[in-house]
Amino acid sequence: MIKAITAVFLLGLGVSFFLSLTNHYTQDKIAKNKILHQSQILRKLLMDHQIEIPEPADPTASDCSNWIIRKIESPGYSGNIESLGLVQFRKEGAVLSLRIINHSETPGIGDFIDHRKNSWIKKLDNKTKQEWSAIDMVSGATITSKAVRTIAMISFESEGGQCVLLG
Amino acid sequence: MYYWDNLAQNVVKNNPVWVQLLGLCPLLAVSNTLANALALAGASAFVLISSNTLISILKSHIPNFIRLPCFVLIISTFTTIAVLLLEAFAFELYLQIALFIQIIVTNCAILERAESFASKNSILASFFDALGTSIGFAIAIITLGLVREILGRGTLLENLNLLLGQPNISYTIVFFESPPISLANFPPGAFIVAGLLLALAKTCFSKKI
Repeated sequence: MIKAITAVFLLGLGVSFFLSLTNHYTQDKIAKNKILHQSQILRKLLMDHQIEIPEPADPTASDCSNWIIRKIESPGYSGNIESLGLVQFRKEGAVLSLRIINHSETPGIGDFIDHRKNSWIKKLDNKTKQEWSAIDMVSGATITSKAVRTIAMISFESEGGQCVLLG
Repeated sequence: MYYWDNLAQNVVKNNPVWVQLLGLCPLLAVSNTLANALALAGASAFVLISSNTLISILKSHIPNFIRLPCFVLIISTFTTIAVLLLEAFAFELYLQIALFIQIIVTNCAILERAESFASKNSILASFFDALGTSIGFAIAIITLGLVREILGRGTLLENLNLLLGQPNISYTIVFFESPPISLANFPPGAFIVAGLLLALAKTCFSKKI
């Protein structure tokens, strides 16, 4: 019995050493990839709305008067759904366009929120708060749909946000 | 010669998918495009070969009655390493198939090889056994990916650029403007195509086996 426990314990130590080694050598690259991915989505989102992309080095180039970017997280069916929201202030009121940066929803069921896989979220571009609060739930993915609605509501309500490129 | 015979046997006569019907879960889930199939074949081969070799090295130190938890520990370690490497070097592809790379842990072909071969044989023999099984698995998933992508999407090699880390170059070959049988792109289609290929493999090899 003691022999077995020692064996598993030593094996556990061994494999955690391997894992931490891999983590050590990949974490910088992974963090860089995530930031790059996020800024690509943001650039595409701004281009889709004919907004001039401000230079990251010059935060004063664009004033926050008519649009802001908000990064919102909300728990989905499995893990958090991270998203970028572009809120534009127009004469008729604020309108929101969302893009999901990161999620781990069930493939084929909950991943319709991903704009790379489905155009659903693009169809909701430039909708007002009222329209976002009335979006349909997708059957089989109620939690996912509700999470998106929650993200939209937070995007409209929360204070702050920025109009410079992230990362 | 023994090693090569064993390797060849694992590729054709003991093919993990078409003969032993193992590891179907990740196989059916990821084979909707050829690029995804290649990525899963590569990741599975990495996990299978390294875990089999390590299990063979440690076989005399692992107590018999606790061997399965130890094997699973080793396999899941290599799977996590594969996921981290994929996340670091092919991020776009990672975003698409990360969930399926993670379920390599549950691929019974890997545990089966560890249990029935690597825990009883020498390091070199286990290495070649794992290599043979990986090639057999790769052939199966690539065939399935090839057929499903042409039928279900009408294209070939879509997303290969993501696998190679060149997001701006497209290698896609378009066969049909609209997919001929889009069912093949979805899970039920995966079962049907896999069943048909299995029948084909049985017909082709039944006389030789």
